[in-house]
Amino acid sequence: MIHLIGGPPRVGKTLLAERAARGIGASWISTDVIRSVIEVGQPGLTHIVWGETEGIQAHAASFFPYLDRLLWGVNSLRGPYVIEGVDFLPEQAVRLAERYPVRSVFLGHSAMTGPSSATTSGGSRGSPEPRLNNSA
Amino acid sequence: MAEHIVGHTELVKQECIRLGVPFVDVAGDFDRELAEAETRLVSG
Repeated sequence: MIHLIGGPPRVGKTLLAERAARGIGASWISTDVIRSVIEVGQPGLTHIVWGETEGIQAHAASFFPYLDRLLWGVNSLRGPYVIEGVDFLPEQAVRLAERYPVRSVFLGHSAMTGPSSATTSGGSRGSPEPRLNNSA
Repeated sequence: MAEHIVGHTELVKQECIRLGVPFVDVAGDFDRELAEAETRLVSG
């Protein structure tokens, strides 16, 4: 089973991935890793406009082939795996579930407050910080 | 960034409702909501 965790930045996806992976004896990876790999070869390709619905949807659509390939690889490992990230939406999760053994949950924060900052970013923390963990 | 997270949350929530995908809002009791999300992720 592949467990997908999606949602905006800073809502607890990584923490949930760590907990869930530990609980089921799985490894986990953030899509930040994939995005940073893509950026090495094609700078700017994964640029996200956070403040616009259309920008988020367009990014998720353009990222889908890479995510699909990741799941293809992970699925070949035959064990449980957790994948978390900002780079896909429920629509992509549903499409992936048609092809792979996938279970998904999305997180959100409907009342977050705080100082404004840049409207664009390559990742959830400004510059992508690849996260890779093999806890199994 | 906070307003973008709230906007992104609404987009995700509406898609989840439309497609029947589990959605958990962590705006309340974070630890409790995260535990709920883990249960839904692992146990379905």
